Amino acid sequence: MFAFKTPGYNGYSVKYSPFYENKLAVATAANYGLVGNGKLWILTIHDNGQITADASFDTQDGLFDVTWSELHENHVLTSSGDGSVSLFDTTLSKFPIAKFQEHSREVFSVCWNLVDKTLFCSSSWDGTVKVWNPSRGQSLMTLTSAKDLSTTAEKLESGTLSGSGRVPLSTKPTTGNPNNDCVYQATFSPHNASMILSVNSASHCQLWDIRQPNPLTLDFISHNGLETLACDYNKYRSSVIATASVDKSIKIWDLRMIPNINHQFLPLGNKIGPSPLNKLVGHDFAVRKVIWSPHSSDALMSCSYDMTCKIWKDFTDDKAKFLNTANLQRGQALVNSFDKHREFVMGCDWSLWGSGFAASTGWDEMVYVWKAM
Amino acid sequence: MSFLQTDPASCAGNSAINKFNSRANMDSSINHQLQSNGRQQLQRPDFNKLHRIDAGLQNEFRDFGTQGSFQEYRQPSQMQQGSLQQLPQRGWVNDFQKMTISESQDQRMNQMDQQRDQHDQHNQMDQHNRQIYQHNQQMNQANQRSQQANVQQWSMEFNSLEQRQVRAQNSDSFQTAATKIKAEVSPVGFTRSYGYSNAPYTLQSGLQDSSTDSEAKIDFDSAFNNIEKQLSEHGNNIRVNNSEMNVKEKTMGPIGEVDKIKFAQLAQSVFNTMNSASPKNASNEMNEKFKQSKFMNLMDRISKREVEINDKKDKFVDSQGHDIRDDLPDPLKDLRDTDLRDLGPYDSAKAVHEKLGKDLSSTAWETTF
Repeated sequence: MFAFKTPGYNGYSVKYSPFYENKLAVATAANYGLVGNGKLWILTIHDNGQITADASFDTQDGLFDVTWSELHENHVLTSSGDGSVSLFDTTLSKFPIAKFQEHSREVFSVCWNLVDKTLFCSSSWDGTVKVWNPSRGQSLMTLTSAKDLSTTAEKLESGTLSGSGRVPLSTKPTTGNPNNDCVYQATFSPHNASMILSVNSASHCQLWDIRQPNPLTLDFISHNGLETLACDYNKYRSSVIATASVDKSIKIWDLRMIPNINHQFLPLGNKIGPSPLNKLVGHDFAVRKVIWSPHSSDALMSCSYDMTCKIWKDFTDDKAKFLNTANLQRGQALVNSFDKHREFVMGCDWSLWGSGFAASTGWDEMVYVWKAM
Repeated sequence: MSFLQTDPASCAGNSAINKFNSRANMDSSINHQLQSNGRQQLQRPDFNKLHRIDAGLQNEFRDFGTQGSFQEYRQPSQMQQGSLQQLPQRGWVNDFQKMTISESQDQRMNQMDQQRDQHDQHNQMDQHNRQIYQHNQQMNQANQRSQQANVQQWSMEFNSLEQRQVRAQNSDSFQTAATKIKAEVSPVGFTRSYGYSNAPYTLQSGLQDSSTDSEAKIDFDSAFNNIEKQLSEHGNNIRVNNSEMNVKEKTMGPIGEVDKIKFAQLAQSVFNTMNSASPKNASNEMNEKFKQSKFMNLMDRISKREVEINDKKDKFVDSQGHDIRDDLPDPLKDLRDTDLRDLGPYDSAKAVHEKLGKDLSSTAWETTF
């Protein structure tokens, strides 16, 4: 296990470079992202296990997410609390080479398109997902769901997150977004250049096709009205996704089983949405991020507010689609757990070269590189 | 009744069937239209419709119009060659006529006269053709001259229009770029370096196609001067030092007491939620982690109003007004940087060890893994 400390800055996101096997980008924020500035760290893992910072960039506001460019090996994209998305060149110092400012609230995630490498998307607490081209200052498209997304959350059990039974919302409603559906994550499909998956605080998981005049293709409630914090595509199965929520669970879905938004055939009594392929239960608090493995079609990693990272195996397959009872038992799918962090773990990523290696970062100002599988 | 109909039955009165047939059989295809248009283009306007123009002459005239003035000299010679070719034929006719008897001689004389008349008529027609040809040539030249004049006039108008548009575009794009710079260099205090780093990018995009027109230059200079004045007015609020990157961009008013109380209440609720929400089957290690969590400690201190957000809303400060992040451990803070400036790594480490000795331990900055 290798470690690096980001003194004074709390980690929010870590990503391996797609060009260099030993390079990491870490997005951090001061004062846990509540107030203050942010810092982007470019780290190199040496053969002797030492991690050093090659470059760092100070920003006006806290950074919440980072992603590497697929076009240029030295370009890194960050999303900030001031609503901007900045493109940095690691060979230059101090300032970004481009800044994209359109969101009216904090930008919580950025994702570079792995297929059409000229696009990237950002999601914000203003309820929108924007698609950008790095050579153009204005966004190409803004995705907003027009339908009323207000849902009634089911009553929580006593002793769980909130004893009063109310959903603990992390943002306050704005005049432009009265439904309070801030989008926590939006990610491009690694199989189709035109598909975007997003999740929001109204527990909705939405699939967008940016080629369509009405881009919203699928829209379903993923976690019974509770905030859905993360989503990710399976790297081998194009229709399989995973979502993570404040209900401490990770759900695996097959998008082919979910009715199209124009052809809603859900039965009248079904108010909680379609059924998942699998449900992974093991975290003690809300799950902050979930990422499928790039080396295995049935392995995924998650990080949580319970200060741990967990590795899971998804044992569901097409044959066992209806045998959910065996897979829903607690702990069966859990393969490994990393508990060295001393604060909330906010970001994690798989290594693309070292099979089984992973990196994680958290509010304890630490970045760890460890063997996951 | 139409003289243009080729149907012989149309000589009589028109019938509805004939009209229907003609309309039904009318070729309205695109090919037909193209061909008919081509034929129309080939047909030149005749000043004398009844005059039958020699096809060869017509072709020569067309060639002359396309090739140039050299043909002008060739045409008369060709015409002369044509007239010269006719002379030997007339000589043979005269000889033949002389060989006949008297009655036929009169007839021959008449024939010669007729031929002479025809020749004269032919000459007259040639002259007439020549006149017409010259007239057409002059008209052609006049048309070409007028076309060139039109082209020149049109190109001048287009260029002036284009220049006007470019001028307007440049002034607009520069205005938008100037307003962007103004917005970024606000009175509140956005760092100058950050503003200028973005300004060239926006300026470049706005002025990429700028012309060297003097008016655009004047607009550029005046706008630039205005910006310089604004910068000098707000120069006291702008700092170039990197340590000032913490200054916020947006104009924010001071945080009120009510907001501070609300924030403290929120921190209290978070602290209570996290402390009371530990699951029953959670491990002792995790519970221990939560008790030692710095975030939980911060929430507790905020709820007790020991730590608050400062007026600028960019950091947490304690009761004395110090940034809470200033308490980071610095085991080398007693050493002056100048002591180690000229030393290498080994010598620096040796110097530090000699000064601090046993007091210095790696556990001061390292976390146990």
